[in-house]
Amino acid sequence: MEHMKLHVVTPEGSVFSGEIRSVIVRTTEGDVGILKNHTNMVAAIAYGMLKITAPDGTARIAACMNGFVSVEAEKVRIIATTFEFADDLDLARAQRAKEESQNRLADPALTDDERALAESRLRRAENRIRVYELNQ
Amino acid sequence: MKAIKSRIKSVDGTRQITKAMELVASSKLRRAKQQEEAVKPYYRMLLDAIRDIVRIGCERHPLLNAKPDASATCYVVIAGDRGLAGGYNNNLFRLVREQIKDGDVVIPVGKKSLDYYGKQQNVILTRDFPLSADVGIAESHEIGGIVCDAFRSGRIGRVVVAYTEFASMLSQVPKTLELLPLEREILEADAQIQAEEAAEKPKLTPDTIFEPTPEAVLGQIIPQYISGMIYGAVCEASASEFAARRTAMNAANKNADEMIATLTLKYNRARQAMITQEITEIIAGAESI
Repeated sequence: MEHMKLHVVTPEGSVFSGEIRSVIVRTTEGDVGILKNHTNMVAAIAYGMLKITAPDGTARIAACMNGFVSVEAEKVRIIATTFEFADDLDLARAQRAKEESQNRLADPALTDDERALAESRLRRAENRIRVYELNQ
Repeated sequence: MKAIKSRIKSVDGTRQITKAMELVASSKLRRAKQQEEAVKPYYRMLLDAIRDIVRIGCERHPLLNAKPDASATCYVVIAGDRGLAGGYNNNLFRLVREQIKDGDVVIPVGKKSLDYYGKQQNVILTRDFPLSADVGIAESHEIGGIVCDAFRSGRIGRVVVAYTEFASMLSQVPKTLELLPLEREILEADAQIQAEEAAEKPKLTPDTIFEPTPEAVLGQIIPQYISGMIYGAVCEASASEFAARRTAMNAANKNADEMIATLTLKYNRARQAMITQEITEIIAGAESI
């Protein structure tokens, strides 16, 4: 099977760079699998899971949120606000964040902005927990 | 003599504090610098992507075009939380003061910035960022969201971020950077890129698929880019702050050393004079017997 290059960049720097066999990423339109010779594409990334298959066939999954993926000339670039491999995820922290934001959302006096903030925090936490569980 | 001695002691105490602050600033500086380096490729790549998308024919996005009817500018002023950093905070405020007009709004970031603009005439958009040390990626996204929303609604027509550029260890320059509208910046940069373009970088071609649409992708990328830029500016500003504090504390140390040297000299002279006087008195006393 042929390989291609993947580069993942977040505000904390470059988190992954190397040869891969395939990558599956959750875009706003649904999961998209990318193999070599994929046509050029740009898509927005939603909250979700990302799966990288290395050239030797081993797969790694990661929580990847907010950003976009671009495929150009056999090179895949993923630029995300957060990108964490499942092995690095802190489950306790995600669960705490989930609980906190749930408690916050129960408060009826919340303004729209605060509600939106708590909701997106809840979604992030839930996504992290899901990815963590999938990895087990 | 006693007065001189206690003076020396107090200067020495101050010197120890400034010395410690210098060391703390140096180590924090290193970290801030690393962070800033890390975020650079992120917003550069975002900008690249925006340029590509715009170039292959998608110019119509509400965040791209100037709004001639909205005259107010929003300044995001990133200053420090503490003083004792030489002219770090004041230089920045002076620069902003030269540019800001009546009716412009401000988002102060950092305690000093909030204190300063709390006393000014300009409207403060949000007071949610009292500590610049606490502003991470999430907070930068919040700021980005606020300015993008305000820009979209037409309340402001320009977004400018004011921060201190880290020119070198010894020189930090206050600077303003225009974030929105993006249009002008992109066009300017285009000429520059075309020269470099021939290089290896693959470019998007017009047959690129956009999921779901170019507009939607842009709508997602631009706010991210803005947040990335803000985060980059915050990191750079904090690197500058630590460098400025380090320089200021270094100068304070030197002054303290100088002062201690002068005071010690004075003290020794006084001691010498006292001994001489005592000897003279004893001799005079012995002679008179």
